[in-house]
Parts: sequence; structure tokens; C-alpha cells
Amino acid sequence: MVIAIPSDNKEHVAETFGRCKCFVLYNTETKEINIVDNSANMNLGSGAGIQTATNLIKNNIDVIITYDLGPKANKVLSETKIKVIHIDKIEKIDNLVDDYMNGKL
Amino acid sequence: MKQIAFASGKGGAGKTSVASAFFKYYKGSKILADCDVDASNCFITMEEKNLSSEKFHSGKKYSVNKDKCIGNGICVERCVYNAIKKEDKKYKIIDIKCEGCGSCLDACPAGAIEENSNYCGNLYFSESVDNSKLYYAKLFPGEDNSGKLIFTLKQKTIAYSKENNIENIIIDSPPGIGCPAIASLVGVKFLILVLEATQSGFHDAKNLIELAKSKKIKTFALINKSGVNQELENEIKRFLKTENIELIGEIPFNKEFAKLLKAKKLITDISDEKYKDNLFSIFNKINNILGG
Repeated sequence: MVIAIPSDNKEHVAETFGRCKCFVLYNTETKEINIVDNSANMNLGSGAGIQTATNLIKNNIDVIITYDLGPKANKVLSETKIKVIHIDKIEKIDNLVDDYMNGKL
Repeated sequence: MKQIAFASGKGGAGKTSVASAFFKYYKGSKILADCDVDASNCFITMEEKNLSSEKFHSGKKYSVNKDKCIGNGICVERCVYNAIKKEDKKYKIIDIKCEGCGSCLDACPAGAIEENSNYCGNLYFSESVDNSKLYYAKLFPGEDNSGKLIFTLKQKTIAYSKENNIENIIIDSPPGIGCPAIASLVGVKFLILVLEATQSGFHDAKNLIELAKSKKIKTFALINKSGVNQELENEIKRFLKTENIELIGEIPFNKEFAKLLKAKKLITDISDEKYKDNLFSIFNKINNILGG
């Protein structure tokens, strides 16, 4: 299973979804971490959320943990089987992954 | 740090009038982000002193390099915006008509089209008379507001607030529910919905409520220009109740507001004391929302 978390510093979850700098992808089986760059979408005049979501879903992810999610990106994600988890605090990515694995999210 | 936004869906509902008057009234730790950059106007009533400014670029603009242009006119055929015209056997792009799609760049076999980043406005950082700070932007005529601009403006406000321990960011949101409005609401905790008591005001407010719900923002409503259509106001109130949105007050329609704004005054400068008290009691409620 692959978990994706938007981030600006690869350490904390970003305050925004569409205009985050990158996504941290964590594979729960292999414990592998991959970074998906989002700087091109981040600088779009408009439509950053839709583009970000469209690109992200190409990475075979299963879960997204995010602080923010706009209505347009939400619409893209709702057409997929990806599970979206909203959190209401800016937290460390490590903690979020642990919490998710322990069923706390 | 808390972010509170004043938004309405519909333009001209009274967001800026309410937000700028509240900003002056509020005595807590504060900063203003005027995200309504199509008609950035909070600063007008602030007697502000500009501290710094910078250029803002968004999207692309194209121009023809006359030395390379072979005059075949393919660019004209491709341009759906009719932004290219012939001039002395060569072609020229009319800046104001160019939407920045880049079709001409793809089409030109001579490589005569040049791509430039579009300088579309300025970002400003200012100080108001009470020493509080504000960020705002001004777009050049014909330029589009964008999610990117609002995002940039908000990032600057947030960074300054973090550095200077400012607790409350007060946001004047752009109208609509598109990219700019969505960007203005990222990270916002409370939304003050300035609902104009008209059919279009109600319609657009409903859209905004949907948007706020999707972003899980706690919304409070304020009916502006009330007392004109009682039937509609009753309908609005019933709707707010079903949506579980607290109505924090009503501002009755008053012709003096227009005169005050023309004189660069705030709505709280109104002569009628009863009217003023009503505004202050609404602002007290917003004060409590921020405190809680």
C-alpha cells in the first residue's frame, strides 16, 4: 500500500494540497520513500488543484493524508478508489504514517 | 495563528466595507490580507504608508521577433483570440488580446514567436495608521486574478505573521467560488459570510457555503442591505437555520454608506448612533469568534 502526503519540506504535511512543493510517497510493504515533485503545478496561474490531483493519481497510490483539499481536486480524487483522509493539524509526516498504520487516523 | 475570511460569493455584497471597518475596530494582534485583487480597495480607508512592493508574474505572453518573421500568417489562423495583426508584411501580437495560450509558438515554422513571463501586477506591503500591517496587490487592467497570486499574497502574510507573532490574519476574499476564492480560503478557520439580501446575493452565498463546507470552515452569516425584501430575508434565515449557520447580525440598507465610502471613510463613521451601535455589536461577536 502506498500513502501520499503533500509537503513543502518533506518533513511536515503542507498547508495546501494543490500548491504544495512535493508529495512524499511511503510504501508500507517495502518501507520505500519516493518524492513526487509538484513545483510545476504549484506555479500554475489557475487549476493547480485539478492538475496536482490528476498527476498524483498516476503514481498508483492507495491513500492520501492531507490537511487541505479544494473542491476541484476532491472531485478528481472521488472518481478514483483512493482513500482520502483529512487531518486538522499540521503534523510530521512520520507521525502521520505511524498513526495511520496504528489505525488512529 | 488564526485566519478569518470575509467573503460573499457575489461581488459588491459588502465584504470589503465590513472587513476594513472590522480590521480598524479590532484591537487584538492583527494583519490584513486583501485578496480581492481585481479591485483591491481595503487600503483606501487605511491611510496607509507603503513599505515595500514587488512585481508579480503569472502565465505567459507572446511576441513576434520581426527579424525572424517570414510573414506566412499561420499564427493568425491559429489564434482563436484574434490577437495577431499584419503590419508591414510582418505580424504583431496585440498584448491586451493575447490570452497566453501559446498556439502561435507551436504553429510558427520560423521560430519567430518569443515566450515571455507575464508581468501582470504588483504586490504591496503597507502600514496603516494604527501601525498594523497589510498586504495587497494591484493587477494591471485586463489581467486575470489567479489562485497563484492569492497564494503568493497569503504566503507572504503568513510568513510575516509567524516572524512577528501576529495572531490573527484577516482576509478580504475575492468574489466568486473559483480558483482565487478557493486559494483565499486555504487554512482559514472562520468565514464571515457577508450575504447581500438580494436574489443574486442569496444564490451566490449558497455556492460559497458549499465551498466552505468542502473545506470544513466554520461559517457565520451577516445579512447586509437588509430591510428591502422581507420575504426573501425570511427565506434566507430559514436556509441558514437548515445549514446550521449562525446569523451574527444584520446591516440595514442605508444610503449614507455610499457617501462615506466616497469620502474614504469606513461604515463605522456613520452619523446615526443606533446604526453604529449595531455595527459594533456585530463586531463584538466576530471578536468573540476570534477569541474562542
